[in-house]
Amino acid sequence: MSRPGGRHDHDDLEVPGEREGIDELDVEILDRIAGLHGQVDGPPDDFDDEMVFAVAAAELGAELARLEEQELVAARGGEESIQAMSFVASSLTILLTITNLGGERVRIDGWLAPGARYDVQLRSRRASAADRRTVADEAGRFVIDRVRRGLLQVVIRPSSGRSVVTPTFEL
Amino acid sequence: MASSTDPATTTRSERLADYLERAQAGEAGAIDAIVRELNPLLWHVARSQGVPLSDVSDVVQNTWLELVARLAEIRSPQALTSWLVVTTKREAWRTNRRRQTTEPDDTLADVADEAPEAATDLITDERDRVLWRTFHQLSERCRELLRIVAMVDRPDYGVVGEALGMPHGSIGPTRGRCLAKLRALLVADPLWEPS
Repeated sequence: MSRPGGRHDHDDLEVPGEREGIDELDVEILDRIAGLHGQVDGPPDDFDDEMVFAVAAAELGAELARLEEQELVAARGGEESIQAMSFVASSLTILLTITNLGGERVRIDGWLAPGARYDVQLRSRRASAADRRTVADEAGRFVIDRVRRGLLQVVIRPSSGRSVVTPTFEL
Repeated sequence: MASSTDPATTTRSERLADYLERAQAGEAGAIDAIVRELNPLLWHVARSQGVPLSDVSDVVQNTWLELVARLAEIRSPQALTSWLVVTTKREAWRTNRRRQTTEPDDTLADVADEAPEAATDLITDERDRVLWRTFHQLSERCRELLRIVAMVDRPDYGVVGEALGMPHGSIGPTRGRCLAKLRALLVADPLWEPS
């Protein structure tokens, strides 16, 4: 894999033509390379929409809270489901505990540290599921009940300052 | 999105300049246009770094969310493209390392992900088959560079090569070592007939 400044795996022998300008044949070769990778290993059709969804709620300057850890438990059918996850931003840690309620529903118990009365928004990518909103208590705790499983994202807004956004995650 | 920027008549660089300015001014939807314009490039950057299919969304999404956080610092479309390439590479590296520490037995899946021979069966055009086979004779670094450069517009060849840390084998304004090597191999191959 690549190394910064790496001259190591290029021998120093000049390849004939490397100093010439790019011509039609070069452009054709590059176009074919792009086409082939698109064909053999290109993004799925949904990829653009998925990424647009992920950035849609983030206000300019919103800070990314990275997934730090997740705890899985065995669920029905041998699959694993997430029981707890933590996200970390420089200003805030987000801890979510997930309780399976059956019937495609879960309860999310959240804890934000340091605690404060943040606005909490839970976004769902399901067209039929409205965003859920609540406010954390002084200790940073909140509950969002009867959430439908799917692709979700949490956005935290303090009363002043930058908001914090998690990546999307599948529950 | 209503826009004065018609994809049919403008270059990508002109479109990105317009989207960037509007996104920085806080126009909702302008960032979506940037995402749609450069998302395939970021996909290929992540894949060229060995990110398995299951992790590409996480890598690219973190890159886009980092961009939202830092959009004010980006000065030009070229800076935007190279910043995104560098950030995707860093996110890919971070994710790969994380996966290696949490799932040390997961390496087989990665290798299976990438078998070029299997892909050859999917390619119907004869010249493309020759190209694909020849392309895989290049070094890993050359394949990475060419795959990514092929996804960008010509004025960006140079900045992308630099962003990948490969000015030496790079492309633009001259052909560069990797492309020269591939071209020489192709031209010497009787199955590759220039159209």
